[in-house]
Amino acid sequence: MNLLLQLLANGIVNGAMFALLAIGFGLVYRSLRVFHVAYGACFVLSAFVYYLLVTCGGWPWWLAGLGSIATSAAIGTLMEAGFYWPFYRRRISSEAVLVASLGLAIMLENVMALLFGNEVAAIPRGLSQSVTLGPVRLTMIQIAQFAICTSVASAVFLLLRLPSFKIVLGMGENTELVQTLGHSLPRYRMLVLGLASGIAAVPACLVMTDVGMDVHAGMSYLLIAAVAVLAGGVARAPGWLLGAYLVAVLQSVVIWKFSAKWTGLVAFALLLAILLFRREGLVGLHKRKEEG
Amino acid sequence: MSLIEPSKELPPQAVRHSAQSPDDPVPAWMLWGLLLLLIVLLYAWRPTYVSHLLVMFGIYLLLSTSLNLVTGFGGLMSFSHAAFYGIGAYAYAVARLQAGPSGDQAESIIWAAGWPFVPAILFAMAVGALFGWLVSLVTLRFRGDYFVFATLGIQMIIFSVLYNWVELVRGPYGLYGIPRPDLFGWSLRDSWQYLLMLVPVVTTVVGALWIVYRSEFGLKLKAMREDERAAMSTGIATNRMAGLAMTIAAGVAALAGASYASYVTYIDPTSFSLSESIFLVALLMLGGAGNLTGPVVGTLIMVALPEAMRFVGLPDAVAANVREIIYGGLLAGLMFWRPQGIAGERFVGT
Amino acid sequence: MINSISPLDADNSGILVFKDLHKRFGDIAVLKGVSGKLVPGQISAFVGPNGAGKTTLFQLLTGELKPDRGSATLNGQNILGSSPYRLAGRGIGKLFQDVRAFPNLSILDNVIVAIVARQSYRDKPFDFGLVRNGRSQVLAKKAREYLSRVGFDANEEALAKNLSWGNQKLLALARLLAGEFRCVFLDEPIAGISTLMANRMVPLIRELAEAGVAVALIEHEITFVESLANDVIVMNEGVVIDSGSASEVLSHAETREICLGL
Ligand SMILES: Nc1ncnc2c1ncn2[C@@H]1O[C@H](COP(=O)(O)OP(=O)(O)O)[C@@H](O)[C@H]1O
Ligand SMILES: [Mg+2]
Repeated sequence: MNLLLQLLANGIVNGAMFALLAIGFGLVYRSLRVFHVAYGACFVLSAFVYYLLVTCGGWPWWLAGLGSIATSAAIGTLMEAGFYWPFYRRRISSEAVLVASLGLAIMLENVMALLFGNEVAAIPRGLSQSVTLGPVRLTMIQIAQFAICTSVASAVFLLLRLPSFKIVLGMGENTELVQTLGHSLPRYRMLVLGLASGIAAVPACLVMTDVGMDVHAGMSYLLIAAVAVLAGGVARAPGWLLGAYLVAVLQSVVIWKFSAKWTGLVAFALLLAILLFRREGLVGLHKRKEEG
Repeated sequence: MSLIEPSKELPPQAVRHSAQSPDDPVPAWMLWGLLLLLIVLLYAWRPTYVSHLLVMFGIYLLLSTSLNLVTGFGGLMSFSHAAFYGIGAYAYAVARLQAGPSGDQAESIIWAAGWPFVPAILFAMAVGALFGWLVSLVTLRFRGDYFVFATLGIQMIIFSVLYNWVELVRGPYGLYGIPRPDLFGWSLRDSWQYLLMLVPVVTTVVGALWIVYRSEFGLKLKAMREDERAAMSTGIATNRMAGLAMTIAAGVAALAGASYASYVTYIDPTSFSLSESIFLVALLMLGGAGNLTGPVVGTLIMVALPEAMRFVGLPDAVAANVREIIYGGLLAGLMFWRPQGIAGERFVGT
Repeated sequence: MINSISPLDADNSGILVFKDLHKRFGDIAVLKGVSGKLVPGQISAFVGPNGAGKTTLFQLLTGELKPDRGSATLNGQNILGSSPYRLAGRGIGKLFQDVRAFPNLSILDNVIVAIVARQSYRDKPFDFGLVRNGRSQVLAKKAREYLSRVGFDANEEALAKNLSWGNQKLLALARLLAGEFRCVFLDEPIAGISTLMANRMVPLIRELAEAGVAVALIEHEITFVESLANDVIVMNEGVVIDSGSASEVLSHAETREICLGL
């Protein structure tokens, strides 16, 4: 029982981080209809930017975090302007864009491997204190992870409720909407990708501070984000959160029962199982369009 | 949806012959190119080097022609082909390895049969085809980007099992000492001899696939690729066709894997990772999917590319990354300039 | 309005009967109890304003959608819930509103696909029958017959995507003929094509019915309905508001208003 609570707590902390990851991915997939595979590579890149700023630049953690978020947002914006927008202009199918994005991810990953090497990088940290709450023990870092990620997620949700951001969520169903309302579609798309990449940088820095990562981790993090969004339901943002927490808790149970190396496999099997029975995900709108 | 474009209305006679038929025979320039390549290679006269290249060319030809059935004809972008390749390699390896004398290795894997060459090859193909069929049952519930993502996930799952389940096939340590082919008591020692065995196999299988491309089955797959709803309305059981295509393709990929394992005699999971799958799709798209010669051209270019890079003199550690960067760039570029590559039926150049 | 179904209908005469079909998409009820029947040798025209649910009805009867409620039988046997390819095997064919010729296949191959599919859907599901030289001469010859029946004289090796809209419709019709169906659904076959093309299309549809095929047709142009249809079913907002023989229905002032008031 106690163990179960501990696992649940660990899962919830990770869930808060995965939730941010999923929000970024979900925003792009929902609003732009782009299956952003390179998102995983962006995530890793922002983690390494943070790493460099802290270890080589000697920046304080919060400043380095802001720097990483800004860099990531800039890269995301650039990606939209220089990569996805040309595809959109040519009306290339979403499937082909996914494959292209996969190509981009591979390129980024290997450029990073050339720059940073293949070793796991982590921010050296002193012995972290831990807090005991009844049967559950959490390190200070875990608490910080949860607090930061949850507040950022709440902020993002509030942001999306602003009238001007309503368009962002409506964009996926009706691309013309943006133009009929007199806004510039390219700018809105850049906004979404910039925002998504910036959001992803938050958990990236936090993972870097805790367990660290190597340059090849992008695909597994992408898998987590995509599984959370697709399993939770693309149509509605609360579904993404549900998916993220589900994946995280499941992973923590898998780590306990088996080993960390099976987490990716289990996450993906979960997704397939959900999609086979509920195509629209757990929190889906009732399916409007049947095939065709 | 405005589908009505009266301005396009032309009398039927105005339509001119607009595309080369996808069934054109191998163009002459390609044969010349092949010959030229052969001459250059032989000029370099490093016998094992040349034969090694030819063996790899044969193996990749099996992979690309089989993937072509699914991706070029069925129009389904599959990113799990390398997984079937790996399954074939491992199935062959465990079927051939002896349980007894080869020592610690065979004891640390679940099953080692010690079969002769031919049953092991057939076994590998059967296992590959079985996996292909099972995977098709799951992935064919999806289309478009969901299908791509599902195959990508399957690739990662199979890789993860091969890599992490150490008790199964020794995970990252790989399997060594895989026996080379021995046919009727004649065992193949060097790669020229190996080539002697591989050439008839590849010719037969690729020839058979070319026949399948041109069969009614191939035509039905193309119809599905072009418009699945319309294909179904004419009476084509599209899911069954695609499932069959995936099964055949996986079987042939497993044959390629078995050939690879028997050739290099040491395998580990990293040869069958997602980047290998990406490489295969890029290779196919580069040549032009959905026709007979595309896979041949793509394979030629992609097998030659690393050699060209070695020629330039990049250090090995860097070269691996640079190669992947090139493949990734190719994939993205092909999607941009030739998104119809899936259904393009023509070469990149033309 | 609902046609009563006599026990006589449940025979082998090729009659397609549908009863009380309901379909909703999310909150919108698109079909609210539609009934009718299609008789071999007869052309039944479905008319009504856009959004009346005509295309949706056709999708239900060709297996592309499943109804929420209702029944449909061909020769007394249920057809609902079968996939489109199974129904094609049982003799139900369709011309799509958006045509859907196979864009990257040649004109000839477009038709050959239908012949091959028809030949194999019953007894040879996995057919590796060789198509020598890309296709056998026998198949090509058959395909040419269908093409000439619709009066197609474009280069048979041209890709379908390079054809004009009207020619694509004609090609889709040739593909439909090649299926040798017993019951066909034509979703706006005449809309959006030139008068020249329309004048070719009309006799073809009539021939189809004369050959004993049950033809269901969606058409907005009242003159074509008058010249083609034996029966007319008028739909509006998911229900049949009038049906009967063409001359009778088209004389109703209200029907004319709905049809012409598009
Ligand atoms: N797949 C679908 N999802 C949601 N609504 C649909 C779908 N297909 C049709 N509709 C709606 O159903 C109504 C009837 O459409 P349709 O059958 O195409 O009418 P018609 O062919 O008579 O013009 C329309 O209002 C249309 O918007
Ligand atoms: Mg309609």
